[in-house]
Amino acid sequence: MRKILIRILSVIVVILALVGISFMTSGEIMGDVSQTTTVEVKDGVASPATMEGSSFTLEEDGEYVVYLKIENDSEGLITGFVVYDEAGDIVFFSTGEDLVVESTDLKLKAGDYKTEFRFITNEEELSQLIKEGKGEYYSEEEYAFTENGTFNVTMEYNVKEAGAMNIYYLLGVICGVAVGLAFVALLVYLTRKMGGKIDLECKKGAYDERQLLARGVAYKYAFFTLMIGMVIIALMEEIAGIRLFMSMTGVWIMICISLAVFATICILKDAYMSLYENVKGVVIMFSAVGILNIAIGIGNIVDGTSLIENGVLSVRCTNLIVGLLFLYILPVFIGRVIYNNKQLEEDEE
Amino acid sequence: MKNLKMKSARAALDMSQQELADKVGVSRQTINAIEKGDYNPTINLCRSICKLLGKTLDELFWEDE
Repeated sequence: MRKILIRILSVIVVILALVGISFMTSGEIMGDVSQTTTVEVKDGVASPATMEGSSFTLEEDGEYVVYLKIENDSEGLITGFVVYDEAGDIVFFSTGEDLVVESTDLKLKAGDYKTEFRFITNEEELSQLIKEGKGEYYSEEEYAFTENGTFNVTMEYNVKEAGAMNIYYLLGVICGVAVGLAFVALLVYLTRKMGGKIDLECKKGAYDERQLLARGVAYKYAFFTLMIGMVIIALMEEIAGIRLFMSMTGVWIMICISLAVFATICILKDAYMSLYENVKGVVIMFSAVGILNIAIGIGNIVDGTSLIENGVLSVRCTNLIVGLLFLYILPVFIGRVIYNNKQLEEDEE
Repeated sequence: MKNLKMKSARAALDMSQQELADKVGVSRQTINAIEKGDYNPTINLCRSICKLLGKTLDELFWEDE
C-alpha cells in the first residue's frame, strides 16, 4: 500500500511540475476577458447596438483558437461576436443567445485584431452579419426576437495558439486521471481499514480455473457488445443522421454498457470476486464510487451545467453514467450474494 | 451429473465447502459447482481434491456404469 501511495504521489508531483511549466509557456495571446453589459431593446432596436471588445496583436503568422462563452439572462436577443483583422475583414464570428464555442484552428497573419459584439434583434441583422462573415445562414428553428426588453449579457472570450489549447486539455485530462488514482488509493486504504478486502494488484492465482473460464466468456460478450454498440452509433450518425451524443460521450456510454455486461456475467457465474476479496470490500468500493459519481453528476446539474450541448448529450454527463453503472452492478452483486447464502444454507441442511 | 461421492467424502471428514475450497485454493462456488455437476474440474484440481479427501480419482470422479 505504501508503494502504491508513493507512486501516485510521484505522478502527482510530475503533473504539477508540467502544469507549472505550461503556465510559463501558455501560448496565450489574450488572457480570459469577461465583459457584462445591459442591452435595452425598444421597438426592435438594441441600445447599444454594438460594443467594442478587447483587441489583440499576433506576433507571427500561425494557427489560433478563439474561445467564446455568451450568457444571456433572457430570450429574444442574439449576441454576435466578431473578430476583424487590420484590413477590416471578418476572420471569425459566432452568434447565439447562450453559447459556448471553441473555434477550429484559424490561420491568422501577424498583426492587430479587433473584436466587437453586435446585439441582434431581427433576422435581417443576423443574416447581414452572416453575409459579411461569408458564412452560411441556416436555422433549424426560427429565433423569437423580442421587440422590447432588457437583457444582461455576459461575454467571456480569449485567444490562444492552437497547440496551447490542446496542451491545456491534455494536462487537464492527466490531472483528472492523477486525482482519480489518488482517490482510488485512498478508498482502497479506507476499505481495508474497515475490514474489506480488495485486490487491485491482480495477484497471481486470484481467480480459480472455473472463474477464469467464466471471465473469458464474460470478456467475449463484453467485447462484442462494445463493437456492435459502436457500429450502431456510427451507422445512426452517418446513415440516419441521428446524433444523440458527442463522440466521447458515446464512447463512454458504450464502455459502461460493455462493463455492465462483463460484470453481470461474472457476478451471475460467481467469477467477479477474486479469492483475495470479500463481499464487504466490493460493496464498499462500489457504493463509494457509484455515490460519488452520482453526487458529482447531480452537482453539475444543480450548478446549472447543461448536460445537453447543441441538442446532443455532452461529455459532462460522464459522471452520471459511471455512477449509474456502479449503482446497477451493486444490487446485482448483493442479490447474488443473498442467493448464494440461501443456497449454502440449503446445502448444509 | 451430481458428484455425490465427493460430497459424501467431504461430509465424512466433517468439512464444509468453504473449508475444502480454502485448502484446495479455489472458491466455495467452484466446489459447489463440482458437487452439483455444473462444472468439470481439470485433472490438477481433481488430484488436489482427492489428496485432501484421502480418496482416489476413481473413487471420487469415475462415473458409475
